[in-house]
Amino acid sequence: MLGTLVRKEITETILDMRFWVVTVLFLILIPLGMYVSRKDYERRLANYQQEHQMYRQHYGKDVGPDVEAQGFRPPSMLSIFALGLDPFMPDKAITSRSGLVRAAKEPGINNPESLLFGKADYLFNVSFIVSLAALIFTFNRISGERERGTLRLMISGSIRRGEILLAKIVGNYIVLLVPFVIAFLAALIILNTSSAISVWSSGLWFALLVIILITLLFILAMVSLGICVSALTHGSMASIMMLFLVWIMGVLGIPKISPMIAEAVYPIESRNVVDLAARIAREDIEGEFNKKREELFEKCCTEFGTTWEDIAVEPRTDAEKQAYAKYDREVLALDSECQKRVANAIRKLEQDYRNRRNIQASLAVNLSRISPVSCYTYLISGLAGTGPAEPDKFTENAERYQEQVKAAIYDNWVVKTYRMGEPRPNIRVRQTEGFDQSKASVPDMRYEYTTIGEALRAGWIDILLLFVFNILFFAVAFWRFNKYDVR
Amino acid sequence: MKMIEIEELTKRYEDGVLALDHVSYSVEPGEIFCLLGANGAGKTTTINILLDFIPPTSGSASINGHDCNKFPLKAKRYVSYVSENVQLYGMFTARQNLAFFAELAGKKGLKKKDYDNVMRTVGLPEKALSMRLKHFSKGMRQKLGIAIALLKDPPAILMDEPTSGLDPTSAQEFLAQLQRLRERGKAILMTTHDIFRAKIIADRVGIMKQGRLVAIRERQDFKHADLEDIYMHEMEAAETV
Repeated sequence: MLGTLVRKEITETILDMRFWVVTVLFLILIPLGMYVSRKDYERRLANYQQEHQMYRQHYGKDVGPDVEAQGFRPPSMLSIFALGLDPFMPDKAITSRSGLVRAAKEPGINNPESLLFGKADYLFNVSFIVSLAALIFTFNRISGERERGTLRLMISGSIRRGEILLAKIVGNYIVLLVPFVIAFLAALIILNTSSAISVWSSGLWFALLVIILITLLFILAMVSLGICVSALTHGSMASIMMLFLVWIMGVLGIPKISPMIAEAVYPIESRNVVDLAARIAREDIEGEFNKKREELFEKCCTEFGTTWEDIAVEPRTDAEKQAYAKYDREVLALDSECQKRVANAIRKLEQDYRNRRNIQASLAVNLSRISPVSCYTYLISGLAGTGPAEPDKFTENAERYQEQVKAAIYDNWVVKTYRMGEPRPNIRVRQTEGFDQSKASVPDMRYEYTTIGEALRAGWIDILLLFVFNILFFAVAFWRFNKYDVR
Repeated sequence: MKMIEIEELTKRYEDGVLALDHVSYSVEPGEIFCLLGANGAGKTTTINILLDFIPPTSGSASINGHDCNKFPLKAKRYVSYVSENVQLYGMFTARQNLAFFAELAGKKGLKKKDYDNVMRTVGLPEKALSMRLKHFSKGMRQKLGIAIALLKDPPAILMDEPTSGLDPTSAQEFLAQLQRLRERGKAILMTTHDIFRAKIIADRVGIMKQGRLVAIRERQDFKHADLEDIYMHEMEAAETV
């Protein structure tokens, strides 16, 4: 019985003009979106390689103690599927001797229109076009049959309503998948023609499989939602009105409004304010330690019976040399403590800011999760390495790079700061034993994107929610359809 | 044996309208029972309850001994339904429509000759089998509705205003079809406004007014009388009561 009903749904949908319109739309948009995304990735990859190479050639060798090493972020290969936050992510991390690493982003925008309207990548095509197609396929499958009178005739037979409902979901799901799968395969062929990408590479095929499975789950949820809308209304016109309401709220409204609500409910200061607070904290601590250095120098001078004025005059006496030697030994501890205090103060400010930003972000994310489109977007962008977790991932990479540069360069230099009555500190630098500056080079940043495992662990709730949405939409549709007035 | 049985059937809608008021009657195999009455008399409501489209407020309706409200799937195994305006799948051919509804009734693997036979029986040309339903006239759709009922071949058939909108020739052919179904022992419950055709075909008529079954007349009561007069008389009598 179910097979008969499913076959009828499939035949009915295929004979409908909607099917052919959707097929043409899929066959144009999905491969085209993939082609554009592929070209975009190749361009970003080439830019990264060029910039990285030029930097290494010109600035990467014979580096001094205060070098600001630049670590470049390569584009994520999976960003072909979801560009996500990539255009807004920093391009590089710049280290510093003080232990602070900062992010930098090229200000130029090559194609501002693409940012203004958004790119038609795979994520866009599925969450906007395929979701709309799923709803257009299904919105009047029950209400339309009721209007035509065929539902009455069907239910006059010895058939369970649940079977009819299930057949409508399964039938329309299968029919929707046909053009989608064809378009997706065409898109993969386009992807595979790139020299920079191999679909069958170990890094890609598994991610691709996960993306496909999640997409199938999402499409099923949208088909169930369409059938649910149809079971909630008694006419095609009411169904189409409800369809647009649901689609606008689910695809545009909830995902866009949720971050705004989160900002209003839990406001946090801007990044600039935090940066300024960090700068002030650094200047305060450095000022405090400059005074301590002066006191130390004065103490050393007094201990060996000399003064600031005398010690500055060459040639120096033995006492003056001893005073210097003592200062040299003791100032190291002060310098180290100063650096630690600055780093701790800034780290604390950063951590506080990050904690508050995380609270705001989790509020926005959780609010937006009432839409399956949001869950799907978080999952796919997370897998693509362009999701909301990526800014933190960049910070992790940057901090790791700072440590890498510290071990390779900064730790091989001893820097001492003097203050001998001059308005500015007098800094003296020497290399550690065995270190050869001419051979020193800036290490490459080994950028690690979120792995599939990490993305799935972080996105388990979204996967669960997609299952819940499927069950919920079916349950509501079942409940309504069992009471549905077919007259 | 009673194939269709209605006992003290009452239906009051949520808005308080009493659509059926303690209605009782039955239809036996090989019998055509016509329900007459004005719009809103409760004729279609009875059919809606028999097909479990709506639940009764009280009383019972059963088909072949199975309560339509408690065991609707069992009850509906023994019944076919022909509506006032048979609406099938317009993009499907007649054959696809027939095959779909036959399969739903458990008749799988029907052959071309089965379809040809049923088309001939209802008076449709065989070439209509490959025509899409959207090109069918109302009369042709009505005949195809009967063809679906025939393919299912149940012991009981419910017909809701089946001659409404049919041209005289089609209506005449339809009556001939009903006659054949009766001869095959089908219990037929038909609601109609068409007193003229009810007189020709009915074995019994039930007259309904405002949810009440005000009279049941046997064939001998109206065979040689004017059924319209009987109908008007019963309606007036019900008004007085």
